[in-house]
Amino acid sequence: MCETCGCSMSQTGKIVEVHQTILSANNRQARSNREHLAKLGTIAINMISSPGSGKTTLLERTIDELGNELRIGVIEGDIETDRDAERIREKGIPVVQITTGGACHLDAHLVHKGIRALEAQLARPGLDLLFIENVGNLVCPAAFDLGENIRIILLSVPEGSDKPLKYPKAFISANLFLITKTDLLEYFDFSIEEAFGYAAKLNPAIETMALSSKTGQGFENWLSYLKALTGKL
Amino acid sequence: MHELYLAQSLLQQVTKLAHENKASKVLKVKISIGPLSGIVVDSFKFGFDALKRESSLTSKAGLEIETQPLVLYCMECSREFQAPDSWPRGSTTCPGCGGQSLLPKGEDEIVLQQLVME
Ligand SMILES: Nc1nc2c(ncn2[C@@H]2O[C@H](COP(=O)(O)OP(=O)(O)OP(=O)(O)O)[C@@H](O)[C@H]2O)c(=O)[nH]1
Ligand SMILES: [Mg+2]
Ligand SMILES: [Zn+2]
Repeated sequence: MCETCGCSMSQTGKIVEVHQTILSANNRQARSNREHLAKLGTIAINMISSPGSGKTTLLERTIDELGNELRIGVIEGDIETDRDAERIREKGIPVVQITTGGACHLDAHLVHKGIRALEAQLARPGLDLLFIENVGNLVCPAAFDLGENIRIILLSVPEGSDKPLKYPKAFISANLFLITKTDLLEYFDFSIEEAFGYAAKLNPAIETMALSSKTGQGFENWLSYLKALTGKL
Repeated sequence: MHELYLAQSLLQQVTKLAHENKASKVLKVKISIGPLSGIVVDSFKFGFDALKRESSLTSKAGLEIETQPLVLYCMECSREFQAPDSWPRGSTTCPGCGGQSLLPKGEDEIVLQQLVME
């Protein structure tokens, strides 16, 4: 375009109209993952949060409580280490570690590989629930559809109740907003009501829950929620 | 840091399209960034300019960014209006009916709109 007046007169080169999201390749793979998971009868849950908000601890306790009733698998996304996968493996649950090699999020292609690797570990095909622990941050993971059925955003009490305002996309795209570490409420200036209020402003359809993986407070709701997802309530 | 990865995704897509169109040089990349994307536009620009130099195909490409205002939709009277800067922190009400059930509307993605290449 002509720099001065914006007319197209002095245009050199060929113009190609694209109108495609830059994530279209990822979104295609995500659709294919979703179809694949549906065939396996698996509900996949993408867990998004800041680092250290309690994702792995929540999974450990959830596996302790539901591991005998439901067939659970886990994909662990991490930038470098496989410590989280090791924690899950100790529970005797099929788990695959994906290291992103520096990238700050999982994408649908990585998860596709993860699902394949997980399937290879199963004695018999099929899983009720697949938890995908995303890399800890609230920006990029929110942009990448992995082919999950449910997206959960976790926020721990020490992080503050105004987080939804700082990361709107993460809250807009989530199905469930889970506040973690509620045992710490008495030590922090955190208002559950305020956090839920902000989230509802961004996403009126979002479901909300609060729990502590340490004391087990709020866990009954969480476990019923999961069982309802799998149709085994 | 996160914007850098998204800039990389954009450049990958641009490179692919340039090859498909048998172009030797990309002159301009036009994108729109949705108001709900959470992207910091300056960081994205910075990432794009750093990464485009890695290939002679894209090294001269200009980046044109279109941003859109965030619109709120009133669930009571269906009016749409531009969100004030204070949203969602402040208590925004619908200028039509005073309603408080407001739904944010807008793209949450980066869309590659147009390429100019030769
Ligand atoms: N008080 C309290 N601490 C918790 C709770 N859940 C987790 N923690 C602690 O928070 C820290 C981080 O927990 P993780 O489960 O590793 O968090 P994460 O989200 O998996 O962390 P990354 O994978 O590194 O992003 C650990 O020290 C946990 O013991 C809780 O419910 N209450
Ligand atoms: Mg973890
Ligand atoms: Zn109104």
